[in-house]
Amino acid sequence: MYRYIVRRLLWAIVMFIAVTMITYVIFYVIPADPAVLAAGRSARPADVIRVRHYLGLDHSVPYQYGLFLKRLVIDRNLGRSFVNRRPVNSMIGEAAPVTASLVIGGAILWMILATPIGVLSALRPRSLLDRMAMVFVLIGISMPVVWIGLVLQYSIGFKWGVLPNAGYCDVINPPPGADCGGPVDWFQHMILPWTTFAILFTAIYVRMIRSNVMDTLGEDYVRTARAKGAPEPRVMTKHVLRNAMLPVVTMLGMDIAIALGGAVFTEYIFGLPGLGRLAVQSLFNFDLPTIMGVVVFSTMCIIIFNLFVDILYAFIDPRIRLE
Amino acid sequence: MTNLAMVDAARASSGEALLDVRDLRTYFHTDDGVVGAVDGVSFTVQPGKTLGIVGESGCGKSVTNLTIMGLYPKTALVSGQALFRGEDLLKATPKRLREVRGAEIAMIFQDPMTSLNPVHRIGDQLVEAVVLHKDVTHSQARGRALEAMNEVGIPQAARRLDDYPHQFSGGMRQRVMIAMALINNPSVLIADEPTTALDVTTQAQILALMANLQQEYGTAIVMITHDLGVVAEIADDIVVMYAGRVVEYGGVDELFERPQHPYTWGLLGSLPRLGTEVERLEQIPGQPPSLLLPPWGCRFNTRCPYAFGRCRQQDPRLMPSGGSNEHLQACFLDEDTKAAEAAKTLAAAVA
Amino acid sequence: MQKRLWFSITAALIGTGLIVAASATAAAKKSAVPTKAAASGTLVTELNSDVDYTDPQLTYYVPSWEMQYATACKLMNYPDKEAPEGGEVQPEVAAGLPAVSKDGKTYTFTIKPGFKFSNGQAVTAANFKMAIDRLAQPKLASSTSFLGSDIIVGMQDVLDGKAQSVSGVTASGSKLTIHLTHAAPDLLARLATPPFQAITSSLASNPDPAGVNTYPSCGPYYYAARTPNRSITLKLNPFYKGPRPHGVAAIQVNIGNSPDVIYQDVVKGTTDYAEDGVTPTLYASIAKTYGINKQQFFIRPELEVDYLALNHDPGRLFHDNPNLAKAVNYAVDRHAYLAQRGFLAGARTNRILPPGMAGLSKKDEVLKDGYPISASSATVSKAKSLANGHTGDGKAEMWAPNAGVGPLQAQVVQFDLKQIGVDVSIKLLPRAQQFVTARNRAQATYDINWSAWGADYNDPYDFINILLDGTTIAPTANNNDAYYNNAKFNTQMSKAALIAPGASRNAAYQTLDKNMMAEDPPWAPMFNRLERVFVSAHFGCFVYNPVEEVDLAAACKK
Repeated sequence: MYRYIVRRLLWAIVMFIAVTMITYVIFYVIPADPAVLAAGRSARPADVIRVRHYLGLDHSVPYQYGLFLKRLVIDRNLGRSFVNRRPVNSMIGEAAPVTASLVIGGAILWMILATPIGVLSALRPRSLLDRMAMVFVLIGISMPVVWIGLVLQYSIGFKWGVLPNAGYCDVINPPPGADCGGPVDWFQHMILPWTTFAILFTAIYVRMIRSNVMDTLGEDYVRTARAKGAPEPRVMTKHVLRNAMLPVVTMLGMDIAIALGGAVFTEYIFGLPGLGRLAVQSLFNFDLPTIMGVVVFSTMCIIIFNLFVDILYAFIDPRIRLE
Repeated sequence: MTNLAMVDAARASSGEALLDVRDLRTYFHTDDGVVGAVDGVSFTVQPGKTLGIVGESGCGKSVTNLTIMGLYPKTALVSGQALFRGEDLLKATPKRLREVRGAEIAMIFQDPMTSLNPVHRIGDQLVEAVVLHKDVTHSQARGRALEAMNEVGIPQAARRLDDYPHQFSGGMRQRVMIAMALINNPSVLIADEPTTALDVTTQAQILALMANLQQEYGTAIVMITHDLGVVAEIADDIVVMYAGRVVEYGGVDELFERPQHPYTWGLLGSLPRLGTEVERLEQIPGQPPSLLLPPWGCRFNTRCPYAFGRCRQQDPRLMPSGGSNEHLQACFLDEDTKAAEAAKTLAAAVA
Repeated sequence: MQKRLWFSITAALIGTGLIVAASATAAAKKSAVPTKAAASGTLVTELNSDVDYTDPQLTYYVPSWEMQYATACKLMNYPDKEAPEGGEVQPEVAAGLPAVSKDGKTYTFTIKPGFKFSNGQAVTAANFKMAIDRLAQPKLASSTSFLGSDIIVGMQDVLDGKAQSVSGVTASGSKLTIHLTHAAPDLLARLATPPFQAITSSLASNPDPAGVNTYPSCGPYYYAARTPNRSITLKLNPFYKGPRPHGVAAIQVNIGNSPDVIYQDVVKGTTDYAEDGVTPTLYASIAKTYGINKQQFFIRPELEVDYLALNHDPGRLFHDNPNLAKAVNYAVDRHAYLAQRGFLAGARTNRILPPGMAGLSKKDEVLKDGYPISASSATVSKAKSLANGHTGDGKAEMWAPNAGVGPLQAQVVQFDLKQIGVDVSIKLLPRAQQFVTARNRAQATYDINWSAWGADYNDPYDFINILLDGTTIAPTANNNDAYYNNAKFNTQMSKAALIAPGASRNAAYQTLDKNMMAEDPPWAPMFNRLERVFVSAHFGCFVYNPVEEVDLAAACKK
């Protein structure tokens, strides 16, 4: 078990270096000089040279990458944005909780929706409920996230005004000048983003849970449990679901990590100041430190999350634990 | 007289049946039509005795027992009776059935590898079997579980209670299944191909275990198998099934000494025996028939080397054979041919 | 089991429904309640993306300068009026126009008393010197230092770390003296930009390169709060006694919503002003619903020009090839080119200077005997005859941004020039990359460059000298993306730069504009952008200053 964890950790480090290096290199293959951008368009050559030196861009690429790594690992500092010179650590620190709200809340929502629908469909295959669920799955997988978001935002947020059309409210400590704050505001503002974000995954998970449950229902140990005289609810919870949901746990871990990407659209449409929006803005601005910061942070999150899920799986599935 | 009446008459002398199956039919709806998996099966199980049910795969032997336990899909059509101590299980409420299952009638299945829940500890699964039926504390149930593990001969039972199924070998797992089945002292144990998935040595051990437990606790056993060798060892009575029906029914000695049905001869002939030089095992040619559209007349006629005209037109009934009212068989062949063929088969067997 | 699950689901749905309903009423209530009021209310604006800084010596972003117009007090400033008066720089904290030495290199300002910072401190000449010193701080590394570093004595020394304070600026009592390295009459226009506003000593002693977010200022408003990427709050300066208007008690800038949402918010009235615009495709329907220049939708020309830079560098197609440059000006379909930007996006032009600059008004936007702004078969044949024999190898490369209207407009040009025998191949690049590479002389391999330029300050120097002076061409950082180097015009524009602001300066630049276009056009000027402003029904006292754009100080709530 320990060897397994250590191996995974080493692999995680390798992946981390590879991803950051590739991002750094890609940025330099595009011949746009951030110093000129930062210096402003009326800057003269002397100004540009000064800015270039100030930003540390006059060293060779490998040297800069080395500096970056050193600063990251030893000082745990991601540098400063080219656009507004704010520490990237702060920018990510502000954006990460927003994205976390969206992704984790969305995940909870999609699990709350998908589990009962998936289980019921599996218990009554080909019933009306099952067929409706499958139609929903098809639609949910086919509708683009952007379209769902825009439609919900326009109809429910704007036309009917039932829910806020956009914006983010901090749960605690709203910043000065914010016009909303607190858990209730936060929740209200997140309902539409959560729904937008979750529909696709709800559809996928309904289908997956349904097929897992159907498979598990046919397993021999379920028959054994019934033969022992267990009542149906107990058969369902202790035997069927306990086994059917195992692969769902791993999928959930991986999907939450991948979902960070999908969050970009949702954050943009609903004006949520999260990592996705930060990534997009910094790309448009050629803001290398922020781009790298977002990449580094996201990579770390995904790696840690996957590692966590792998270890968790070893705990809940005894067959893996003791190999 | 109907088959049922035959059976009744045959058993009338043997005293109160513990489990009395009467004209059981289980039909399934499939996309292609209605399949008669069990088509008029009757037999009885005496207390403390072992009944062997033999037949090929697909002959309906498993379905018969699942039907009795009420473990058939809701879409199946079921008729007939399964009287357990006079109570018709087929008409019992789900609640009553759950009380019976695991406590008064227990069932173990073929594949011990998959019959245990891989994510729960063995001890917990045994405890579950107890607390489902008895109002005891967890530690009391655990004590009972430990007892059961010891009874089936699992070494270091106390430590192994906390192990998971994948930490046991196949044979051990089957022992655990037996322990789980017998933990509440049921009167009937239905064992569906319990040794098929095990190697010969383990098979022998399991059979010996079951015989011992029967002796100690007086449990009636219904042993479902396709292997006559297994049945010969431990059964008191044998039911031979083919294509959803009973084709021969009698005491084990009687049946082995005087088999009366071509199918039974085929089964006996295909038994491998130690000490004989046999070039090829005798097979019964052909495949079991489709139960969607069973053959007209005797269901075995398409594979029977002895089939003649009548076999293809009429359905033979269960009749007493030879002198014995307790030995029933369903075949149109005359007595003498039967006796001759029977002798032939046995000669080959003995040699 | 199934039954129980159903009950649970129903219960959950009911519960969720209740929560939504409760929130809905709460939300409805919230929007019904007006913003907390001091007497004049809060003006609410929205930005799609955050400003770069609120720090006066660092910020360079247009919406930010719009806010600075409300908070800054400067030696010279633009009056809170529409064009044309709004475009003429006037003394504000200066008691009057400065005394200028004969050689035009020394300016002496007298500071009017009575201006106070929002913390109560009085504004003196020293506060203006502090601004210039801070602007030159190398630690601050400001990108707007260029606004003074080329003309103010000693400023470059501070930038280079050789001095602590700008020697050419002295403050004593109420007198501020500025020494220039050479005569530069556009100094007054430069002094009207935000970096030169009066700052307190506390801000002056803080050259944090990340910028200071909130600080006392001496205009009608001051920056009271800023949360980067979320919001900015401006509050009324309680000590402001000057003549400028101040219509609301506070200005709240909310940052982050998409342009679609900003549109919705203005329609609903929860936001009063879409500060960096709404989705461009919506303007047509906005104009239809609200009319143009009536209540909520306003069109104003920007000090800006969209043009095609014709690369005059040696070795390129347009080098020493005036006929072809003229032919291009005849051939391009300005209408089709502009149309790609959408409804009311701009007004066609055929000259270099935009209206509002150098004394030009809207009617001067099109040179009367200049190139026709409507393409027709006549213009095309004229173009063909001009181009005949001058098309080189018949091939040209055009650079354009790869997003937005760039590709579309490039295709229009490609089509138009095909008529005169020039095959244009289009190279699409991300705007940032295109911008940066075009300014690098060796890398600028285009013949035609999609370009746009907006004024930093309202003086034709910022358009003609900065963009077309051949003597300033360098290996990198060129704003002259036409690499135009005409000796005669170089001399003329240097001369014109020395003329004092006024009618003759304007006339000199207007003539330059006309003559360059007539003799050897450096560009094909296409159109001047129109600022399209969408405000809510509550936005009153709308004033658009041609240089500073929407006047937040003048705004009031109705």
